[in-house]
Amino acid sequence: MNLIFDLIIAVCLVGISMRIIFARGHFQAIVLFITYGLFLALAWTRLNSPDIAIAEAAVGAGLTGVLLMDTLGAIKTSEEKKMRIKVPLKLAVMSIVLVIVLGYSALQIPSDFSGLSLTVHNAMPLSGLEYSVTAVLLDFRSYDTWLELGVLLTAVIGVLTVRRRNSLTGSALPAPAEPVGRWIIKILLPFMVIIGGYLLWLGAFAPGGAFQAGVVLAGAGVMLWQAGHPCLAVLSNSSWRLLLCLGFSTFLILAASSLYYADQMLTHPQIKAWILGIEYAATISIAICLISLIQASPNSKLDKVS
Amino acid sequence: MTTFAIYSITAVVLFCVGLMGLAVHPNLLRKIVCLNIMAGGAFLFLISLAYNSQGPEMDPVPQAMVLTGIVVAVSATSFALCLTRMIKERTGQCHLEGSDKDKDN
Repeated sequence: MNLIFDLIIAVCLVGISMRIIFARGHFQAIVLFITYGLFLALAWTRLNSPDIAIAEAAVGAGLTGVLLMDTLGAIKTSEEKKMRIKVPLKLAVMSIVLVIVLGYSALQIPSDFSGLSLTVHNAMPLSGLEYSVTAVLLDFRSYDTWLELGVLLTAVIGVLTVRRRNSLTGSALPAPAEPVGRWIIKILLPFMVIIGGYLLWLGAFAPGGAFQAGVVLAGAGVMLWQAGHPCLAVLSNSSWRLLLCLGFSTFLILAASSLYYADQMLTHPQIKAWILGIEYAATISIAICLISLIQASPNSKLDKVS
Repeated sequence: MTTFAIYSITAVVLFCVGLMGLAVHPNLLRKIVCLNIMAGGAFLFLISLAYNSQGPEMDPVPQAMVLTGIVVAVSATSFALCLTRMIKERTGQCHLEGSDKDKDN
């Protein structure tokens, strides 16, 4: 039964990806891409990875979809022709050969390898956490998480530089608030904030954690901004910048301070506060950076005026 | 084994479909969508490997890598889209110089 479900998801994923390639209009391709993200989220739940399913549904389908739609609105020309996509024969043959070679080598992977799960399992008591994915993210491979926050921050700085802006606060309202939008916010926002906080708290012992909470909060922020709600504009420019850098700088401070009592960076003593501090800072920074990435790109007309 | 086989083959096919789309489309927006399809394929392959591994629990390291990867992918996408806008504003076109845009777009 599960196998049939797997097969349905697999066929849908491949079908949707082909449709994205052959879609004539860009709008159609983007809507199909959002569908693709949702099907991927289904595949993650089937593969026992609820963490990734949450992140994919919020980021892969949601935020990327918003970004793509936003850009489409900016670059669309009125006389855009519906194009017919033709794949050259050589390219099609090459792709099929690549599928066969990669697929064959994927099936040659022995099924009795244990990966790193045993190593992580044995090291779990050292981390003070009960859930292994959170332990890997915030403790065993915290370099990855640190640099990932660095990538997010760099992306925000990059977008601001390309758009020639030095402030994010001016672009808080894309549209005047409509009554319907306000009602939706009133209903949805409390749920999203509660779910975000719950996921953050859950991360210590069950699927959940900084990333998932951060992306859910970012979704809430984008909803506020899209509906024209003024509460994001309350943040002053300097506090906005502070929140952007919070995650990265928390890591930096902790890494530097750990050099005082240990030989290596980011080795931490057995205190919950350490992990907790990193987790909360990372959540806030991820949420604020993702909101900024979406806020920063549009409103080029508004910029030219100001 | 079989669930692993289904998802790893799907991942490979998604990667190659994305790669093909990347080569076929002259439009930068569509190229970015295709890159994201490829990323989805790569993530799916990592997680199907983790699902297949034998151990006390599912391998958490690839899961953490994919979680990181999803956020990095969205940052890269937003920066790429921002550059696309910039190219559109500067040149009035949405494709790179030298691609045979006139034929298909």
